[in-house]
Amino acid sequence: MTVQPIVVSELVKEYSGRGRKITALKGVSFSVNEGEIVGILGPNGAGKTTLCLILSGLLEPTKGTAYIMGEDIRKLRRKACEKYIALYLSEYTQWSLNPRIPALKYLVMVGAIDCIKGDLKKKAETALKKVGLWEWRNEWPSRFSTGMKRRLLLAAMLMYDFPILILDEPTVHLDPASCIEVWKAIKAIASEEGRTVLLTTQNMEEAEYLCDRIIFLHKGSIIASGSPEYFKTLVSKYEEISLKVSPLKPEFKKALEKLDGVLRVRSEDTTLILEAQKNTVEPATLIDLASQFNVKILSMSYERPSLSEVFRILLKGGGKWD
Amino acid sequence: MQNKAIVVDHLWKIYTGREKNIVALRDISFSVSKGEVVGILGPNGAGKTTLCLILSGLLEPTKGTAYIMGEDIRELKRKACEKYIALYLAEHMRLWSAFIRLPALKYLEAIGAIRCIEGDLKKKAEEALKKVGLWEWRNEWPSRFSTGMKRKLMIAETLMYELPILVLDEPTVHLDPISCMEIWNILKELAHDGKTILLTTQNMEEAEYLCDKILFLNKGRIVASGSPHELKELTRYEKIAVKVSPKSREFAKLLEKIDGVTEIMQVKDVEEGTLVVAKSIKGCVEPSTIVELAKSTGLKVLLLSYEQLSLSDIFRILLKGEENESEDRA
Amino acid sequence: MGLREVLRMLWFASFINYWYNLKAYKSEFVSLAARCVISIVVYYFWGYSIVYQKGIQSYGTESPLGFILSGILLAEFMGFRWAFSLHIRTFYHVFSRPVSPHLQVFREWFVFNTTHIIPFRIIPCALLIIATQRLNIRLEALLVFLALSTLLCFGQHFMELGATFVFKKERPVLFAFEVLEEFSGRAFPITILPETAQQILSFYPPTWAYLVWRKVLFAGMPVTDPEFLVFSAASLVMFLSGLAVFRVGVNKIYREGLVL
Repeated sequence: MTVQPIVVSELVKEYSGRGRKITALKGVSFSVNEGEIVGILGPNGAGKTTLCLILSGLLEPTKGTAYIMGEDIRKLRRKACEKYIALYLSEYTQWSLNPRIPALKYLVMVGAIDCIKGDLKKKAETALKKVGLWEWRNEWPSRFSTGMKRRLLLAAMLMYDFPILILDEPTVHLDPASCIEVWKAIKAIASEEGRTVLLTTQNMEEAEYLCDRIIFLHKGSIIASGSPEYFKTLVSKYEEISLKVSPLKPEFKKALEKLDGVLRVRSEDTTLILEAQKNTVEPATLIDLASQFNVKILSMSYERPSLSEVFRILLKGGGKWD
Repeated sequence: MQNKAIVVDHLWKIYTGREKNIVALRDISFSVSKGEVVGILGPNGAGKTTLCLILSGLLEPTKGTAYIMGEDIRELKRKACEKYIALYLAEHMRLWSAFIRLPALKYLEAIGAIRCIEGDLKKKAEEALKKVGLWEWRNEWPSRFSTGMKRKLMIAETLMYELPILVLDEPTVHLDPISCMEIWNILKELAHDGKTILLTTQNMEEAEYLCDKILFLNKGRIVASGSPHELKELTRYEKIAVKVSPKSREFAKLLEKIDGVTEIMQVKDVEEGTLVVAKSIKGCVEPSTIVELAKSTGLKVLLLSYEQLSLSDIFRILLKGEENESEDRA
Repeated sequence: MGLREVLRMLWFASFINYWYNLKAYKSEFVSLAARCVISIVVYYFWGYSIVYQKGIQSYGTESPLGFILSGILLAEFMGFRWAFSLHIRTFYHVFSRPVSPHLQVFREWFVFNTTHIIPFRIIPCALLIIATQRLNIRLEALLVFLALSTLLCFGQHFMELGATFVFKKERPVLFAFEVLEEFSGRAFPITILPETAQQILSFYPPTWAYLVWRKVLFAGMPVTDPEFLVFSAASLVMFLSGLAVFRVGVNKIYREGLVL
């Protein structure tokens, strides 16, 4: 039975100074399994960076604690960063390495300076392959695009052989094409290497694409947690299904209205829009019903709120989806 | 020319380097009307910041020119920033360190004084703070703000100028969706009141929500332009999301073989099954085909949704198209 | 933009800006005061150079050039405070490395010394001293001194870093230490300062380093000399207290975070 990499238990963090107290985290509890990618979402100032710093052992929790690979972070403190956690706060190479040496050598240098044990060259090679930069191993990082530089930093983090990676906004400033490259690299790290990834982000597309689970923080408390799919179903009991049909027959429309779970059907041009309870109407059912009436369904779409809309609804309440 | 705030005319910018020259902008031409919101999209290094700097008169174009409110930028130079353009470069802006231990309201007033803004500074600072949603923090020190709040404060600084054109380079980077929406609404209001806004962004949602027109730059050239709606309609592809149960990754491979499906974009295991997102040619794949395929392998289809490609997807297609083109040429 | 705005801009950018800087960083008052005092002291021994001459004699040398050069030489060896990459801004980045921060500070010192200081500053300065001064050195004293002053140097830097963490300010704290080092005998003999000042400074270990250094170079001071022994004890004290202050500073940031 493998130990859970991260277990957080009633974590509280209060900043006090000049006679005022700011509670950054108010009793946060969750756990992360091996190989999972968990995203921490929330408005600015919700406590995401505070949480990352506490989990890395660089900030003391006021109350409660966290267990990294079974060890109490209050006792581990900085050593968590030497044994278990690779932290990425923002684009920063501590040792201002000359980026005009081949990427492979660059990684070997970073490894040497950070006192990584073992065969550095081999580790660098594996890391480069994992993030998809192997063909660029003899190129200078100064010539890389921003997305490639991020991936190189990820490769450096990989060399540490730590089971946990904590990434704070890993794809900020990146264009969508570079984002995908970085996401693929992170997914490869999590699934093939079995490393646990905890990341914070404001990019909803990133949260949907990458995360197995999302934890939503607001004013220091978790107000929701689950998979991105779960979040989409969270804010509304209903879903809208649009069917583009040919031809449009009134009998078909009536039959749809009688289906289990369907509340209303309205028509707009050649499209029928069903309002139904979540997860009650299956595509197969609709297609079979259509073929009974000799109607062809050209296309269908289940409209769900996007993750950004979910975000806004969770924080403000109200919207088209109530 | 009268109602055009910005007119760019065959603009070129070549940086001369020691070994070789870098062509940052290649024969760019476009125009922006007053009150329009134009978004400039493109991969990193495509020349977006270069374009912003040239239009603000801070960088000299190599060939061609631009007209800001009818005046030639080559003659205007820096004066463009005094008369017409408020520039906001997200990566380079910092808070003024001496004043960060002042209440935010006083901070804005002090910045206004240092930047020679005319008029009643206190009132302008108040309005700017209210607009960006920091009014309840007006007596707090900016040194205590979170990153997103600092960004909003910097945007408030830019808003205090009352110039007709705003050039914003990634204005909502680091901001959460709600703060983004607040800033977008401010920008929409400003555009409605007649301000012209040119912005650079990597956030596709921002581009869709805000921009009347989008210019897509790659390697210094305009590769595509049009409203977000037009760009999404023009493509001949669509996206199909299928969720099957129980979990099965092989289904993705079968799906790829269907006639009309060009690419599998994403395969993800979720709670109830597996989610597969595929790209296909519009109108080519029928729902019944997919449901039949699933049935034949003993899977149940929980969700089947045909969606328009998002702007990010279009972005990637355009970029790949460019890559393929250059490969063909090479 | 009219005249009124320009004047207002000048007012805010200069006086108001400076005022708030001083208000925010109260230790800038200290450096401001110190700078005034130094100017007075400099004026003092320029005008009364006999006092200066007598003062440096108590350091074991009669040549002002020798005094100043040796001061520069030791200061180069010990003064890295502006070159380290561990600051408040980079705190979390440095501390989240898998290498211990102490080791990182040692590494920076080592690298900076070997690549910048020794080849380009220390060796030329040393050659200049050898060429122009009459030296009277006991080898074992020199070696022991260099070893102990390295220890003192580390103590000093850990203390400075720790202090920047405790006060959560960088430049003012480092500047204050720079001023303090100036007053411990780098470019002028502290014997020209009033008695009470000298007594206070004798509790600051670098004062002893600057004193013993000149005596080792010019007066053949042996290891067994009482002043040398005081210096040895002082280096050890500096090293240990530096580590202690560093630890206090790190713990403070651990508890409170970097919210300023």
